[in-house]
Amino acid sequence: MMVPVLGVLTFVCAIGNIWPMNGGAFALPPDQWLPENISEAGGVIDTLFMFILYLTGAIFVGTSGALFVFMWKFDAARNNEPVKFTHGSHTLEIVWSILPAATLLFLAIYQMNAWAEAKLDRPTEEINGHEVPKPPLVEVTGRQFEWRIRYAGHDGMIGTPDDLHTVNDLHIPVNEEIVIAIKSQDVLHSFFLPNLRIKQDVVPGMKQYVWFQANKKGTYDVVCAELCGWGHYKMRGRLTVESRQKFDRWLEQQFAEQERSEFTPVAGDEDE
Amino acid sequence: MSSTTVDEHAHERASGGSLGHFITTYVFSRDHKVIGMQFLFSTLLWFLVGGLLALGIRWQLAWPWHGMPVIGPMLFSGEGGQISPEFYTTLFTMHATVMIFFVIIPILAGAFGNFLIPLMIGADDMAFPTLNMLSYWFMWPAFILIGICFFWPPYGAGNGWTSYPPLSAMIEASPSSLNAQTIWLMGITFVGVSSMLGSVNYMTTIIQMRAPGMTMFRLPMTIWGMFITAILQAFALPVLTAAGFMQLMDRLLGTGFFLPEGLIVNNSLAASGGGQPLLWQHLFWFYSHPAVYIMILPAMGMVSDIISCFSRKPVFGYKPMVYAISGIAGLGFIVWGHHMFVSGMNPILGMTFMVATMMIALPSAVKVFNWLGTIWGGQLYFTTPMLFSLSFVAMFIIGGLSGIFMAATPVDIFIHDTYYIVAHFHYVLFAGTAMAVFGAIYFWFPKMFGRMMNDSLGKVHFLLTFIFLNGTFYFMHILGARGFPRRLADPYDYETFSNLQPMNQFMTICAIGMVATQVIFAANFIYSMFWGPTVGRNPWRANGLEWTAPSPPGHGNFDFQPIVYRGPYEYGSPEVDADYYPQNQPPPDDVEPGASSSGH
Amino acid sequence: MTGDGAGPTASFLNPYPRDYRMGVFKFKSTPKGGKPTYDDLKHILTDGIPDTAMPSFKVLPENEIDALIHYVRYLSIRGEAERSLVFYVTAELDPDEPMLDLAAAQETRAEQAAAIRDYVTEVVQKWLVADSQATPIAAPDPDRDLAASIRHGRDLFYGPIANCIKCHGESALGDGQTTDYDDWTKELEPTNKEALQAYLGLGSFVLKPRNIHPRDLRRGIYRGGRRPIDLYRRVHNGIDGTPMPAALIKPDGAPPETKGLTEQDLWALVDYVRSLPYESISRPPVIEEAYQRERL
Repeated sequence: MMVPVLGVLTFVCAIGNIWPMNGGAFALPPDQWLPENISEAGGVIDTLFMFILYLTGAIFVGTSGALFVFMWKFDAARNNEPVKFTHGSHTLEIVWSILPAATLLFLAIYQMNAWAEAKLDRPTEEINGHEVPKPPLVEVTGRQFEWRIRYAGHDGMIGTPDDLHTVNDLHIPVNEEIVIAIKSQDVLHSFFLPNLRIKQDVVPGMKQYVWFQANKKGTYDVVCAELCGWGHYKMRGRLTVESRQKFDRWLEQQFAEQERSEFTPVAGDEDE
Repeated sequence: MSSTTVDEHAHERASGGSLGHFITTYVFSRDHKVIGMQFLFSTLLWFLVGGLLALGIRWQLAWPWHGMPVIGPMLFSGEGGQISPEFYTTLFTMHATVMIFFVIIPILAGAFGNFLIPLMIGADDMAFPTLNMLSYWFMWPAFILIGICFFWPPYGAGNGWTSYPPLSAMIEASPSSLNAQTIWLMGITFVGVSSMLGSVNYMTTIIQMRAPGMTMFRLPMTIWGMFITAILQAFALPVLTAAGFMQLMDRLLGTGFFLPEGLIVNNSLAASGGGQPLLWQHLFWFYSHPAVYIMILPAMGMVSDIISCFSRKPVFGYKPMVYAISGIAGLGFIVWGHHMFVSGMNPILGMTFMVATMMIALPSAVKVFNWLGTIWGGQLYFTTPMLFSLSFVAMFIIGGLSGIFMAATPVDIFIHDTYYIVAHFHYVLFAGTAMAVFGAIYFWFPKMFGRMMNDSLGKVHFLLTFIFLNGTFYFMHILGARGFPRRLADPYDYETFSNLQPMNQFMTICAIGMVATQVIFAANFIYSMFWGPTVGRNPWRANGLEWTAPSPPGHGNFDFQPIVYRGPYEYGSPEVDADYYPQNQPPPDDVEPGASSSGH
Repeated sequence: MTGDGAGPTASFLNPYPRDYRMGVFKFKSTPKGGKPTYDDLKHILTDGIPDTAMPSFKVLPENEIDALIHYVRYLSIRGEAERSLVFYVTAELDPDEPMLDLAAAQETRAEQAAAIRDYVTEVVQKWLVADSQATPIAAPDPDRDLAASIRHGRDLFYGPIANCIKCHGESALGDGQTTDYDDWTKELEPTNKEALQAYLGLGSFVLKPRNIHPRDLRRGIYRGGRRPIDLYRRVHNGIDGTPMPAALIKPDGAPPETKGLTEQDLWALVDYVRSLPYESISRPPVIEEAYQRERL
């Protein structure tokens, strides 16, 4: 009747959807499901995502398939066999408790390393024979509704008079391990770099660190990912990843502008 | 134990006719069925409100800053007909608040819990009828307060239903943090009190007032769902209420529970400090995570009942199903931190919450397998309730599996606060619970009103809702994988999301279709209430005790004292010729009572 | 939408958004009374104004920023022209006399239009000359003794000529006086009870008058920009529309007893102000400890 048609229809739609590669409606090609990844550690996250996708995809196909097969086979309109009167099967319960439990446990342990790398293992460097946490290159402070960015000056320390201040304009040298200190000046924000798979809520009164290594040059977005008020949507920053030379040159240029103490008015007017 | 009979109550009814009597019978009634009906009508109306708010969100995401036709100039004339950024924050805040606190929780616990619990366990009413009535009427201050919220400049609370401080705790932090937020907090407190009153009632009734022979393991799964849910509510709600008071104090009395030292927001200094914004998140999610299980366990129970009835077969693995519900609830208390993986909480805590969250998938999986086992080998009748319940299973599989992505903390770093999360919870809450609720309404409608809803219209309602909801919510997974953030009034300026507008427009059109389809349901419901075909006590030939009472049951429910001999799922039992075997039917002479093949 | 600084969110912001209609801008390179140059407006748009709700639009493309600058000027010109025409109508014309009578003879209309055009031209003219009015700034001696300059600046800060502490307070925390108003608010006569009541009685949508606060110089947040030339401009030209005065300049070569500040003095003041946030009393230990919750 209507049900077998319905069953097939739904199953087809579902399959079409779970594999966008097969051309489900408005499907994006597989390389566009996740945004471009330009970080080393981000690749680990992407692999984990895909692994879970295939795993859950298989489970989905299996269980939904079973559902639709049973719906078809045991439809009372067509099935005349007497009902299999049973209250359950102890064995089956054990099997389908142990198997998922083992899978989940495996998944849990498999990804602990990635989490530790992302959030626990802050990069260190050796100074005078000691391992110390790597000092941050830049401090990003979230504020309603912008990112205030502060680079260490020549003295290498953030918080001194020779720091460079910019707004919404974050530059990073490529292929280097970077540590960023993140803070909030007022309410909760979240420092989200989609292309680096970095996200960390910034909390007022708490200083935190994120670290990554970008391996491709270009301009990317900085997004705020925690509701911070009516202007949450416009808290857009620009991340520029460039070569070390260009980065140093940019820092010098910005600093020179910040230290500008000479001004000559432009001759004539600019109006048309 | 029933001590009154229908006769006595009929006499009471006949003697009435005064306004006072009308008010005590239908308005301030202490009869659990009337209260259940009151909850049902109120929540269905709020469902409409919540749905319209959602359409506002979808409009903005599909056509940002375009004026809405017709409604735009009426509501937003100050902005030229478009939704302002502040109002957008109100839209998503109130949509979530209304759907969670005024629709899903009350319809499951308040409407169905109230109506079904005494009927299914063979009692004549709840243990505390007056408390029950209060539990409904405590919702009204909440309705009024949240309703006022909408009319109080700036027209609603807008700090997310999660209401994170310092945004929500400081008046200067956001336009929506003025009086609207205070009123919102008070509304939530009333909802909490209402639920706590209800939960105490349900627990007591289920433990103390079961009919003779109704052991705990002969309870229908619906009752188990309601029972465990009541326990969750009783233990988790006080934390939310306390947190709500703390935030109110921060806002009104200048305390600093959630405000750190020296906080300056919008050039205003907070009154005091020394607090911690993360404290709110812990307290809030300690309630709100069990809340999401509150929002699905009764639905799971009802789905078990419906599937079993229309497969003419017992529920596969009754005891494992009960243990699974308990497991979900128990584990539900130790996973709240998975909402906070990137919140600034210690990442080591993140690992512990991750393990617990992974484990919670296990009892859910067991339940899905058992549902599949229930329909295997049965005789399936695809009535409207059955269709909705089967779609619950299918959609819950999707929603549950997508949860695994979030449980994996490194993946959660990326998908937290994106539309992936939105997809996940809409699949479990709408494609899951709401579909189960629809199915339950079609299933128990005859018992409530003595009439049947139209099954063909029901199937049309089902098909269209199913198609449109998948069209609306499936693509949110894709958006989320792209990093498309939540709560952004206009995401298309960002390079990463600039090409996602067509997808959003498609989703909006599906959402409009989905809301429009509910007109069919509303029409069917209202028409059938008055003019639907009348039915007897047990139109579905089901086993539960409720189907032995008249349709609709009178005051006192049963016209005889039910005595229970077996579990609720003896469909297709070899002991009788009929394909169902009601719980209170005495066994044939050659079978020992209580010694049925069910083993319990 | 009219550039009146009273948009839907305005009442909520602290400080209020700028009302362009007076044609007065705070942070520019021209002296008091002058309009900001193209570059001044560009600077504000690209860097925003720290400590306020004015965001940075650096991520916008060049052509959009250019369009915005022209639009801001347009709004200001329109607003100021409308205001001057209002004054014209109330001061110069009879109560029944229309500003432009469309039913009158051709000649009369031409006369009236010419009068209107004069007022508008006056407004526009000020913008046209703005770019050339910017104050030239000569850099200080890069080899100067910075510590000595800072000490000199401190003396001037507390001294009678500059008298900064009168408003900025004896600890430079901005608490010297707190009862003054900026020019936009002064127009509303906030100290006059009847005028204030009349204004507030217009409706709940009006922006309640707020006092203007002198800047807390120890925070290191400078609304007009943190470059030395920005700070120099604030001290040299004052801040238009606010009680911050222009400096009394003592030209080079003037007799020693002339009152005023030389260019060197101004640079000394700038050096001192720039050093204030890093003085030890600006960073008491307790503020650092507030950040004790450090994750790794």
